[in-house]
Amino acid sequence: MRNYLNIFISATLLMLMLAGCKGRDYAVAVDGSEGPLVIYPDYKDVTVPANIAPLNYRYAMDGVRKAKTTFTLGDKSVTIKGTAVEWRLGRWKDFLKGSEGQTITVKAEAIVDGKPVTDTWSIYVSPDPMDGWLTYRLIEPSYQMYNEVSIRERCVENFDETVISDFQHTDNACMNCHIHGQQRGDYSLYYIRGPKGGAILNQGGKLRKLTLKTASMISPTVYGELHPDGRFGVFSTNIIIPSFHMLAGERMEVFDTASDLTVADFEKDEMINLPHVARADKFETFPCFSADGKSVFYCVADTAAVPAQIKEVRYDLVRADFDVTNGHIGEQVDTVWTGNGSVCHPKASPDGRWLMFTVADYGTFPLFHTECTLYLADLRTGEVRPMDEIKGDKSDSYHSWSSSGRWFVFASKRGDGQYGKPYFCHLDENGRTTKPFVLPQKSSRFYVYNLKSFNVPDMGSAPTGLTAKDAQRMCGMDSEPFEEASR
Amino acid sequence: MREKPLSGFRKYAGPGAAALGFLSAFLFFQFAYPYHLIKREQANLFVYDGDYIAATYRGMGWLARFVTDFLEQFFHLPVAGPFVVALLVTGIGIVVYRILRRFLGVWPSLGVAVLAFAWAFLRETGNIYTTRYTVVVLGYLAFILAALQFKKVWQKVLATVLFLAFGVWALGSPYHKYYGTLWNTPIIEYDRMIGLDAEVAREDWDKVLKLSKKDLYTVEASFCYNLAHAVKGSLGSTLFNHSQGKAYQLLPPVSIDRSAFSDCLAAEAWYQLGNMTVAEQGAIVALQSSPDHTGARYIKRLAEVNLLSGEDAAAQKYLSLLSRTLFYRKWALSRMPGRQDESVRAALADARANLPVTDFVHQSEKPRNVLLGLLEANPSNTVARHYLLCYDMLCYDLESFMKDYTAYPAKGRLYGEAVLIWLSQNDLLNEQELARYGIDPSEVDRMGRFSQNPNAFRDSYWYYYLKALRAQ
Repeated sequence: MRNYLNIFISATLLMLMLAGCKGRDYAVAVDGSEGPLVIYPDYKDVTVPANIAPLNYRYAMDGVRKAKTTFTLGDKSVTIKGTAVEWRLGRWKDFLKGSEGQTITVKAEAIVDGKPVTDTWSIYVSPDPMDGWLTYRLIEPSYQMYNEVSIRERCVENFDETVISDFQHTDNACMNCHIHGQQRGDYSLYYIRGPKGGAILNQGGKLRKLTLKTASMISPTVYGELHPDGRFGVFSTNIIIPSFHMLAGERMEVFDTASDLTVADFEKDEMINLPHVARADKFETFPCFSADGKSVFYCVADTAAVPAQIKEVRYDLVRADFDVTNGHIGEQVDTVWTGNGSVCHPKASPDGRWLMFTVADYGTFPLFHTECTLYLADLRTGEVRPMDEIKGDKSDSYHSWSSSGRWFVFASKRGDGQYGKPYFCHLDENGRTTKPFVLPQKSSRFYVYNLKSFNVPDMGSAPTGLTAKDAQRMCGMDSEPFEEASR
Repeated sequence: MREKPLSGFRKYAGPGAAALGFLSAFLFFQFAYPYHLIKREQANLFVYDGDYIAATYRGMGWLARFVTDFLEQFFHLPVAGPFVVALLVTGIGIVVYRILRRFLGVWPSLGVAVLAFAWAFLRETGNIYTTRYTVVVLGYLAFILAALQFKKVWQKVLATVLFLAFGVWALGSPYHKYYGTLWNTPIIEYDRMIGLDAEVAREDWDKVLKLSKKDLYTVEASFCYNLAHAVKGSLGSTLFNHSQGKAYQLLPPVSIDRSAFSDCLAAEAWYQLGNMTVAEQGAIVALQSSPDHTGARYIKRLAEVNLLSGEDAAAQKYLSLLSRTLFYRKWALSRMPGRQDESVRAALADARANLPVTDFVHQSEKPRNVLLGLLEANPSNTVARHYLLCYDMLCYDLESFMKDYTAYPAKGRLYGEAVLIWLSQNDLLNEQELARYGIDPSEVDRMGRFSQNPNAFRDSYWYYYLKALRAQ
């Protein structure tokens, strides 16, 4: 009797398990490739670095079966059967050995709706190396609430991911994104917010918790960058207000009611607050250093009654001198770009040649602005152009450079419009780009199931070595106060 | 030590206690605490996909999470949910009894087993992680019982060590701060509150009205009561059937200052109104508060919002997830872009008629402009009409009310009462004006009777307005 009961229970559970297994084919691509065989993620005709992790993808079409994909590189050839094309790491690395400057030919065959279909494409392996580490914050696309967020570091050469800071080790604190100083693994900064928080500065692997706020500042530091010399950081201070659009699909708008610039002196533990970058009639934000550290680029707009006039708020991109002896931002300002749009996230390439920034129609939060486009300024010639050739159907926003200046990564909501994903792109010496490709994942279905945004993807040439335990230790430490610098 | 065969009453004590325990737990969750398990199902998602399962259920405690998520998908079913929970908590009692019987007599073993059952049963009335904890406890107890089956001591010790090592890997820590307090007691009012939330999500407005009646003194129940009447088109006659709170409580914002539960509830009203951006944000906030950030109810709402917004790619992402579940599969497939039939397309088109056409940025805490924007897009949006007029009334803003009532008139005794106040304040209480606003002259007499005995008209706007005047 007991045996019959066990068999009945097991059979019922098995039937229930199997009941949901029907219809695996309904995962049609939200941002699939073109061509007779649609693949997702789209790795057709992309340029990749030789150190990239396996480009795993799947055939994202209804009714596709008996897929067979052959990758050919010189005299090497690998065939993978099945609709999920997922490489073993070692096999991929062997395949790519010595592939720099060569082209991989991919030939795919499958039966779609009972008919044979073939497709071919190529993957160019660039001789330019790309930094091997990427940090990002994983968060739901809420931007006004947080719960259980984490900052992670991914090795883009494989699928290893390390947690730099997470909710479990910080009493579910909010945390803001990790930025590298000059793409160095041992020079970086991120924030843990809340009563136990502070700015966590990583200087040569030594961690400090800093209170980058003085009485005269409107808020603690928010956006910013670290100086190449290691002594200074330039930041904005912002009163940030989240709000909603009326139109369905426009989603959220986040605006500043006030914003200024400030400089942190990490040697003297001082904040250098100068009136000409903290004007009441201007919003100043998103500062960054030039590659040589002698200039600061930032965004500036006339203040307006927000949110009523948010659509009239347009930020220009300007440059000012930076005095490396005292950390002062110069009063003289040169306009780098002004036009019918609003600039965010300027970032100078490490070789000093380029400045990349995003341009939206208005405002200071381009994450849901579908019109938002990356722009490229040639600092040698002053020429500025929109990078329309890599523009997705949704916003392309935060970006960072690889230390060679030949690769950059940017957050794009292309496809579903909701979840930001890191896309890599090659840039040659003439400023020509190649087709962007999304960060490869071990599972070809990762982006189908993923419900978190990759926020502020930032590239590093070496691992930071930071761990969640470090974040926990920092939470338990007193924060170093910063004083107001005398002018 | 082997169990000796039992005789007489003692033979049936164990099975009898188990049957009684199972029945009491089943009946409790089925009838006295019906919404508790539904809420758990809403915050859970079990996806039938190998890749998803491999990616989701890994690391310490993978088996406990897998089993719990699998079981919780049935928790919204009237009989199956209580049946599963009753089985689990009774299972704890049975396994404890079987372990103790190896060392103790029937009655001491039974006494401890009943205590273990009672503890597990009462813990199950707690927060959203409790079933996972019940599974973990049951798993560890089952391992101990299995280890005790071996005859020799060294075998028992070895088996215990191996089973516990497997348990640590597969079940995780026997304690986690998410598992909540050691002891829980059921709160029937809380069950009614989450019941309101569940019925609002199901759009069963009659049930919402029935459930809210006992708790109308709470902000949440009052909000749900108002929402149900707004959808049914009767808010203009029922708003003051109970004491109303502040104006913003009528249509609360989705904001960082409120709990995820309140935000989720508020988002339901914004969804009914046709404001998809606030509705979407409320769903994301609720999703963030679910255990693995994958609550089925909220993913379904995100799919609905994006379908209505025309964001097909985002909708497809959510529908794709739901299409691999047991209970949302049919719904998801019927709404998948490119696969919708005529009736689904027609329903979407009807709902889209309420979407705003003019854009501006707002923070949802002052809804008047938003409601006007919705009515500009669709003047026949009755939910928006009632909310607008009632909001004006709760703000004592009769000038705005008259402007809005003229532009967007709606049926309701209370609206006539507000008009009469305004007319009397402006010395316009004459037949011509009454006719202009469609007010029966007998209402003037009624207002006269109100002034003589206000307490007899507690459900009128006059009473509310008078109280506010006196408070000033």
